[in-house]
Amino acid sequence: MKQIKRRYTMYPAWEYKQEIADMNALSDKGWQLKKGGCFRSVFYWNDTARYRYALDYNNHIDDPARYRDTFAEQGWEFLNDTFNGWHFFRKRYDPSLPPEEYEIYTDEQSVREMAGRWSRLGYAFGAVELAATAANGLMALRLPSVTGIAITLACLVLGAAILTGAWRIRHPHVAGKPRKSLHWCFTTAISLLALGLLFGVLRYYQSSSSEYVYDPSAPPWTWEMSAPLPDFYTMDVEADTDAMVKITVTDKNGKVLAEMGGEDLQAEKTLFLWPGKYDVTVQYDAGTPAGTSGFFRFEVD
Amino acid sequence: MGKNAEPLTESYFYILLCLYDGPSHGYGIMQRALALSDGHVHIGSGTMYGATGNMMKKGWIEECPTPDADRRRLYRLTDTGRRVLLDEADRLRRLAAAADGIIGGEK
Repeated sequence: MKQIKRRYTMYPAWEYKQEIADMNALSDKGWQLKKGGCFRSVFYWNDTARYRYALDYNNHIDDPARYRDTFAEQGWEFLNDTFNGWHFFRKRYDPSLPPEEYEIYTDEQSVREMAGRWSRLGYAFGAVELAATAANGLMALRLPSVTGIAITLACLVLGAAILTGAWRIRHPHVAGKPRKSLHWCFTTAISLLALGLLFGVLRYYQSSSSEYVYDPSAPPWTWEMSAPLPDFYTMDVEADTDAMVKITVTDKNGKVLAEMGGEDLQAEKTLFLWPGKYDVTVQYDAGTPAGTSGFFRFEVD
Repeated sequence: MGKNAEPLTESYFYILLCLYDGPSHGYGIMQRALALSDGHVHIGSGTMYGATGNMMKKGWIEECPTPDADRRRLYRLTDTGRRVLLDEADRLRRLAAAADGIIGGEK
């Protein structure tokens, strides 16, 4: 049988009691925590022992030796701590002892102090996330893209969840019962981030451009462009000519999606396109005299 | 304790009380507090670390040397801590006397 098990689970900080309950349940089944972490925990197999675990959040320990000694005096074995200030302890389980024996915070004031330490960090981090939401949101408004919108939403969900959590860690119960988990917020935020990054990478190499030299005697020039992903596409047009020029983007059913026109045109238009092929047509006024020439460049990004 | 000082929590009170007649370590304080309170006051390690740390900062208790082989931390009451304890005990006695005067032994 496998002796080591790695568990990739993320618990919101304010739901640390659920993490303790899960570690206790695994211990009863024979899986003992070797190293705890925010994203990954390692367990080893030993069905001859049962432990109860404790998680402490303290990111500013004045005297680390005294801290660990104080826990050791009551039978708590220090396992490890995490980069962000969580400390994992365990104690051999004796069913004859009362449950208080396995609590590290036993009065309201110290529970409040511990919650307050994380709460302050949570409010600060939540505010940073909301600032990131605003910055990404402004960028997404200026240059819309699925990547920008997904990252903005991810920051918003994460920021709102963390701010809620910063409050919840101090108010963990509603009508005497534990509150519903906000774990889904993290799943949602991570999914949105992954979607945004995936679209960003896929779109990175997909800009295309075409150039055209005007010839008034030629029929309208058409270039076929493709949209490989459902996303926002920015059409950047640059025309240097004396002629009045009109550029039309149509789908394959002939539906006009965008029109740009003018002399010495410098235009940028952003369109949401579903995957498919589209036609870009360049025409110029019927009255454009023969011999008028110019340069036209169309770039899709 | 000054007139405007806040009442002590049970944990703080019992830690000071357990040190009244001599130094003790965290585990000893915890056991004694449990016994003195008929099993009502259990002082967990996190609470003990925070409370002893705060009380050392306030100058109510201090660490005293322990034999090299002993990792347990030994604490003793300072004169300030003794005063805080006596004031709090006095306050509690007055509260209990006032309660007794009205409701007697009714539980």
